[in-house]
Amino acid sequence: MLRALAVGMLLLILAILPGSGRATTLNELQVGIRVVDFMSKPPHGKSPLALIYDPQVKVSVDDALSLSNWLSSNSAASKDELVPVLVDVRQLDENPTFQIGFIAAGMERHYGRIFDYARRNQTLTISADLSCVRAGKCTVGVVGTPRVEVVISQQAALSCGIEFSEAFRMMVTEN
Amino acid sequence: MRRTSLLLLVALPWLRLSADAAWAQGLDYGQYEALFGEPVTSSATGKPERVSDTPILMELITAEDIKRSGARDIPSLLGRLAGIDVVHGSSGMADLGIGGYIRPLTSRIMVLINGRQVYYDGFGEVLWPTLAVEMAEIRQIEVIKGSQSALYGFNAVDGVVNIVTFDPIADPVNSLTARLGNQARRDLTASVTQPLGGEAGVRLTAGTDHAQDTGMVTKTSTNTAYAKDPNRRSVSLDAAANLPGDGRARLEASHTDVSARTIASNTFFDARVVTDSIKGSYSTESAIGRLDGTVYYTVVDMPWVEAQPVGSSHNSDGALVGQLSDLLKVGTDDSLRFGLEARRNAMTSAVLQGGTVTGDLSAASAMWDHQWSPRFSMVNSARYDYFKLGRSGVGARQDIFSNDAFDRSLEGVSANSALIGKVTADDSVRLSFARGVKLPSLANFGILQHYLPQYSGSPNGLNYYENPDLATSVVYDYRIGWDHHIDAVDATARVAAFHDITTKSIGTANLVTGKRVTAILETMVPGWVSNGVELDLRHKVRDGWTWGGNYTFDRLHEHSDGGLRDAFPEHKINLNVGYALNGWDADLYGSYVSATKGVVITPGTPPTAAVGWVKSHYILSPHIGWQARDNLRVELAAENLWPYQDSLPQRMETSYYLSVTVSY
Repeated sequence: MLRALAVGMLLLILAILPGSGRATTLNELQVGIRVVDFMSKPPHGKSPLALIYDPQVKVSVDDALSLSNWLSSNSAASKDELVPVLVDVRQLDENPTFQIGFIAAGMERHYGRIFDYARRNQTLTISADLSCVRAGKCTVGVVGTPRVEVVISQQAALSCGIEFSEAFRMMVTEN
Repeated sequence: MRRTSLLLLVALPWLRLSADAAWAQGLDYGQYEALFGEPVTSSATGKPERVSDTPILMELITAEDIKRSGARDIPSLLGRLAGIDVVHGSSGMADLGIGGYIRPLTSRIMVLINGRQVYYDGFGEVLWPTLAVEMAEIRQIEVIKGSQSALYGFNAVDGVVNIVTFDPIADPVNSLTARLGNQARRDLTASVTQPLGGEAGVRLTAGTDHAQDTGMVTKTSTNTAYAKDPNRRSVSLDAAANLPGDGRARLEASHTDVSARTIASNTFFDARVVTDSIKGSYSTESAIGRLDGTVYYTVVDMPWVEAQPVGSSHNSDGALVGQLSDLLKVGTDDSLRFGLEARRNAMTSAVLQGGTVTGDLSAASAMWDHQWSPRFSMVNSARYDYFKLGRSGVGARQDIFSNDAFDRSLEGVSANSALIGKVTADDSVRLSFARGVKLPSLANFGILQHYLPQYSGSPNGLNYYENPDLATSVVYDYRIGWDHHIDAVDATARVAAFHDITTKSIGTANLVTGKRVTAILETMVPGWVSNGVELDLRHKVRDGWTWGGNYTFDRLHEHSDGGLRDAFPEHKINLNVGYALNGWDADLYGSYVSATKGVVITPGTPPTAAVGWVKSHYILSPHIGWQARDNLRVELAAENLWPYQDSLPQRMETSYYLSVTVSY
């Protein structure tokens, strides 16, 4: 009984936590994409942008499709060089190396797997779920409202070999 | 001609680019503003930061604000901010003050264009029309109130105005504006930006302004010679390139030629001022942080200066400045900045009969910014300045100083400390303390020594001496401010208060007292205290209603009396309301400034001066703009629907004008 109550509470807390299962907004996608400009070694030319999702989680699928549509329709005002590619989180390793990955909503259970991939391939991972960056599993966390916030996990950045310009680092939150 | 200029390409052979530079970094204001959805600045602390994050109380005028203002010049724009006072010496010449002290030709604020000081070193003065910048190329104007000597050195004791222009790579400006108005106003400005290979660009801007001289209150046969029509011609070049390896280079060059009339205490001036400047800067990311190097050279030449007591003279001032800085982030919460600066300033004057006064300055500075938590951060900075004075050549007639008297040095330590607490999502509190150092100008030290026979009733005449023994004065500034966002009306409110202490000031030999003495020697006299409160409320949108207003109460208490003791308008109110829809925009700006004391000049040989009252005055300036096509904007504006006086010798007349801007 107690265990069931604890699990129930945990699920409730996870549901309440900001970013948990919440769809990524267009503004957050725009902010995340713009962060790429401030990498010390950004990708050159046309580069794939992995939209990492879990086909078994509806929230994740819907979010990834929204992200892809925004990017394809140029609503995200992204750089032409970034080409969106939907990537099943379970098939990450079967795909070519991605330099940039945007993590769709509802992917909490896969943060460890994504981080392992990012560390091996020096991938910049971006998420609108700040719990990912706070846990050191994503390099960049973004918030769109009420105020744009960019949070960098220095530990994740170090692990993944990601560096940002000095001026940019001074204007974001690092932890 | 359009967008292609062989001349520009020839002028920039150093821009050799590589595809590898495609993502090169630099402090690109537009790029950061797009990321954060708000302007960014590096003026407040020397560290790039979002305006809402800076611990320093600052104001920002954006390009959109400028477009909606209807203002023709920068002093008119700045005068609409809380805590900024404007006094006109003529229709085109204005002096600005921040924080309760303003006297003609006695500037205490530092003005910069993209970080280059445009302050006229020799006279310690900002001659606004000589600034080689046109309204259309301004991205934002950053205004920092209170002493900023720890960042900008001697003389930034009451505040800093940094004018940031659009980036020639990322923000092309291609427009032409023609303006016609009463008082024979004829203005023309044009900018053209030429991209060079995608990672470099150059902007060329030229402008010419002309109007009739108006508003001289006491115009008689003895001073009509000083009422020449104001003219201004300006040309500037701004080139930048992103270089491989995160480097960024920028070259800026400018030339202005200005003729204008003004006043100083008790006398009329008419001068032609020719200013030439060239600046090169380079920044790059390195293992020890972001390195910036800047070198610039500015020459301010006055081929003629006509002043009633002095007669004709020719002044020339050259300033060579080199700056190096290293900005780095240590860990997750600390940023450091180390800086070195060297400056050589030399001024010659016909008044000095061939002499040259020089000032060599060396400075070292450090800044530490610490983020206590996402809600609290602070910045501390300090700077040491060493100044070496010198003079060579022939002194003035009846000179009481030898060149050896100028062989001396001064030094000073400045400090700034500020804290921001974001106490809620809608509330920020800022506290700051500053210790600034004010250095006398080269003119104060010794360039204006002169024999003034017309002021004397005795055969010995009157000798007017500057003084090489002048000292620095220290300014202490304390500020507190509270910003609150009012969700219900989507407006931002600010309440701020300050307390300023200036320990010493230069006793101005302004002749106001009319005493007949054989010599006037400038000396250091006790300074003053000023206290003030500022209230500001504003709601800004692109479409729909926009409105705002501010009220400033300043009280000045001078410890010495130069004839104008405590002369300062205590109350000032600015209000604006506007509406924009479907390409139309209309705005109305109004101001009220309370009465104060001023100098009455009675023309004659010699002119005489007395203290009188400048009445309280109202300013009303409407404008209406129409974006007729994507590339065509028409604007009808008026300045000063009621003529007013903010100084006794000058009345600001009503002016109307029509502007047409074509973008290409």
